[in-house]
Amino acid sequence: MKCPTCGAVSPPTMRFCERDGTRLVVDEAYAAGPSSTDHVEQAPTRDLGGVSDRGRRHGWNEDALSLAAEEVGEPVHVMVVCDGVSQAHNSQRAAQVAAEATRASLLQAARSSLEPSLAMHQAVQAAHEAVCAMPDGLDERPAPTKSQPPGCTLVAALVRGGRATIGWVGDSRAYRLAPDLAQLLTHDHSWFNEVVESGELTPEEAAASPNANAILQAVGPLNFDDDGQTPPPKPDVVSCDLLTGHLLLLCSDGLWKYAPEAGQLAELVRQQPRGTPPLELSRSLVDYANTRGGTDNVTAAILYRRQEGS
Amino acid sequence: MTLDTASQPFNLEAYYTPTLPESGDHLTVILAVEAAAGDMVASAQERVLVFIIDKSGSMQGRPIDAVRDSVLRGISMCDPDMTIAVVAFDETASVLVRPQKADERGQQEAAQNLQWLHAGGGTAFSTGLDLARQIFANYPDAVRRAIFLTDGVNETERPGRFEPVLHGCVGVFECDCWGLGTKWRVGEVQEIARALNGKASLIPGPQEIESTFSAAIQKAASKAVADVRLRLWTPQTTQVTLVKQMNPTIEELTSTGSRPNPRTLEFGIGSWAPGEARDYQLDLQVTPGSIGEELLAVRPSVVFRQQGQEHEVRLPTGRVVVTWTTDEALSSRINPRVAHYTGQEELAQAIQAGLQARERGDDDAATHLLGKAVKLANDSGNDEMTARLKKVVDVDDAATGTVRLKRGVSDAATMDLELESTTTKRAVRRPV
Repeated sequence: MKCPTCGAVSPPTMRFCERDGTRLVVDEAYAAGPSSTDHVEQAPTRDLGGVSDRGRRHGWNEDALSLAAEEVGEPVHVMVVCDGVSQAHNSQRAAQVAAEATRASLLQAARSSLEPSLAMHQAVQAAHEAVCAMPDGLDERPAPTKSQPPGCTLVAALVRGGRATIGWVGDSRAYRLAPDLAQLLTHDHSWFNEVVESGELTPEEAAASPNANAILQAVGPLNFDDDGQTPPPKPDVVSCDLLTGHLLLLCSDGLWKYAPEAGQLAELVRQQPRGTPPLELSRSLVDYANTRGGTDNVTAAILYRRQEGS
Repeated sequence: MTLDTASQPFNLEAYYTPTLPESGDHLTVILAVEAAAGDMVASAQERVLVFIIDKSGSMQGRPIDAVRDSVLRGISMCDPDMTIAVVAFDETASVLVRPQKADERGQQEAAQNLQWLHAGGGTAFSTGLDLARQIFANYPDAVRRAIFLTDGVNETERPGRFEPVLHGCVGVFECDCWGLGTKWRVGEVQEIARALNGKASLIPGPQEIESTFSAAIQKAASKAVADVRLRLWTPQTTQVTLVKQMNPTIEELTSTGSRPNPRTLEFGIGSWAPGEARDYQLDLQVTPGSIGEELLAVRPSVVFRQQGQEHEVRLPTGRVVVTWTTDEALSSRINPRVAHYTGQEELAQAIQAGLQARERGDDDAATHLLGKAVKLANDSGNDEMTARLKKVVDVDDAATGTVRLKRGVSDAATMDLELESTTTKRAVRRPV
């Protein structure tokens, strides 16, 4: 098998390039041509939109996106981005199942005005249970050599009026962006963060490690600090005000790896004409990742807080 | 349908001077309504209790922890078939515990969810009230009561929002209100309680929240009949000029009346527990009759719905009848019960005016008015009010109302006296 990135040839049974670790996509499903999940766009309203894309190097899209807008006395927006763990089987389906379960749970909670932090925890729990309950073999493109149970990251936002509540598991992220503001709202549950914050390794040392991209928590039976049990993940939840003119961006690492600083993402948004709808902004961010290599699936979802009544 | 006397869940009695002087055109009636002890009605009504909790930043620390524990303890005390919910508000409101039975499962979920009760944000009463209203709207046939707790001023309220929201809650649920500490405004909290058939009270500190909630839950659990109405049928010759509850507290009802037909006025008097007693004052304007003529002035009754049917309970005699006399000894006699409540109202007014005078630094007026209050409380045997007054004034002679203003009176004592000024001593039940 020839690596699409470095050109190195690996034995036919290998699923990852022996030299640079790029996935070697060979199964028959890949040969079957483009899939419905390769490029997904959603825009429930003019102020909420998102794009999930396979990227340039992966055989299929294991990111999932789910957006919803509803009027519950006031406008309620729900955003979910999940990123299937690539070493696990059924991850594509896990990400989709988790995203849908989270969206449904958050909407239900919003309808009964449930306390947002509590709603977020319940939604992540619901996503975890839904993924754990998945039967085997659901992947659109089965990958029988994957041995780990399914799992995915999750970042979700419940926005009601001017208040956003963000919950996450793993390294999918949320940012708050405005002309004068670029703020990362989440803190990755990642091996990198753990060893750097504990002082064990310098950021440079950690980045050079094969574990550099490892996450420490996932949704689903794929667990990292567990001995055979499937305990639910412990999401972090934060709340913040979303003022008029603010953008809330949720994305998978397929995007932020190309723009690791919040300011870089803000700059990318600023390069677009003022008033560009969130769907088109999301497209531009996904395009940016793909033109920079697109080595991973890439997903971006954006909510724009418009002046009420305008 | 009218129930026969033997099984009536309510008992009504009217007290008034049945003789008017020549050309007399004004009549005051005290209507005593008492719910039967024991099982008032055949089948128990569904009961829904919603906690409306202020979680604003000022609740941080002891208060919010005490509220969390007290709500949980309270829920565990509820009958398992009672429906409970918890709403928390700052400048927005959210549901912490969805409406559910207070059974073991409900208690478990409440215990889990109440961990999410954290203090932070501003204070907008309307948000909590409106969310509670939405919950109660799903239980139109139940006894619907709320417990409202705040510790601060309604300062983050959007202009023009509070009044319509409160108005929307009227008739949808009843609400007893508590202010924790002394940083809240009596008037703001009282406005909610008055509109929603409840009482406003003070909780001095976090350590008293639990006992207060326990009592409130017992009160809510005891209610057996919801949405009772006081109905006044009057002939064309009578105008109802005032309707007030006089006991246990003085509450103005006149403006809350509805008129289902031209001769009938109705007033919502909320839910009732077995054995509960309340007294109402009715002021009537009648067209003077000739001497010796008898006039039906009003036919009061109490109306409630049970299993889809309306029931009406009337006075044993059915009506209030007056006659005109030239005998001044008869017509000038004031009914003792009417006199008692006239005195209690005077007492309330003296306290309120006295506290206002003290507030604006008019010590002479305050001394005079609070002295008058001490005398009225003493005369009517209202010992609880006397005790409250003694926290604000030093009493030299209660019988003459000779008092001196106390210095360094705590805010809590003043607020408590203001809040309780309308709590009356019940007229003694003896044949007149």
